[in-house]
Amino acid sequence: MAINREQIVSLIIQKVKEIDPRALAGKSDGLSDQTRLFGKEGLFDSLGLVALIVDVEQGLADLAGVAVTLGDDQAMSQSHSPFRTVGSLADYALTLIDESQ
Amino acid sequence: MSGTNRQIVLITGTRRGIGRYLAEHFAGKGARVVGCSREPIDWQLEGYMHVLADVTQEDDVKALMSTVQREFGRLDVAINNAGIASTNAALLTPTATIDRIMATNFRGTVVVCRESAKLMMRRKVGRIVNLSTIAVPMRIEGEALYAASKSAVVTYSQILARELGPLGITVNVVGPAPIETDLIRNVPKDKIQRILDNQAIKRLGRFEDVANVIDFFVRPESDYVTGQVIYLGGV
Repeated sequence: MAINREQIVSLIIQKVKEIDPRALAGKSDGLSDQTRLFGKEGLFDSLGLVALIVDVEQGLADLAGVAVTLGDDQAMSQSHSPFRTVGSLADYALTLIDESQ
Repeated sequence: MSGTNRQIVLITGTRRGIGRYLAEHFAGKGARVVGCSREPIDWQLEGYMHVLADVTQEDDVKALMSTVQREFGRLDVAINNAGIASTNAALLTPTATIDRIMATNFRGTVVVCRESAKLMMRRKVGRIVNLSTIAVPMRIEGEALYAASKSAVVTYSQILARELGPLGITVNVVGPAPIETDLIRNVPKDKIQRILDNQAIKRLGRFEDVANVIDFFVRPESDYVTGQVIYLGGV
């Protein structure tokens, strides 16, 4: 089943809300693809980010039947981390899905 | 049967030996046990579900975890028992044997740990127990590859324990002494005797000895015990 960027953004936002990191308090309605996930003013610490990546990987498998590994060496070594924002993570996931098909 | 209050236990390599005993042990205590092996089993057990899976195959492991998630909705305990042994002079060990031992004993354990922890982290609780061997601290000649693969399991487990500690998941290791299983069937009797002579307690191990340590690691009260290695027999 094909999946588009909008669906992936929605999936990531849903998973962020489920994990409910402390930094999200009172701001869950304002999540968008510009929301910072990691780094300066990000919602997650490194441990929380791992949990989010695991949940998004599982969500993509459930939603679109695709098995992608978001936390691979390539992602970790990029100078502009794909985990910066909801949008950058969605873009990265979409790239990996396209490459796998 | 999701939503059960019974403990959900995953054990790899349950077709025979320690793995089968542990399946019977945990099922006997009321747990729901999911076991796996490369070949079909010729036995059945109340409370036990068998999945054909090769731990060296990532897709098999992921399918195994999907089965656990689908059937029970969670995983409480994962026991990495699947393992192979090979006695060889270090200078005569074929490369294919190196790959085979490392794939099952180390990589298989790593992949099962990783995928188990993904299920456990959702509830912020879990117990992982990996099997090593007294061949690691004893430095037994002829067991270089086997012991090295199990030494890797020890180091991996100790570091994994630190990464998973904040997620409520403990990771510990039990290192059995020789037990009468297929794994040591081809080891010469005099070699086994030399190993026993070097133990504080000079007898072969029993399945019960292994289960006893695992029971300690997985009990709820052991949530402050992680990254530990217990070798049996007094090494």
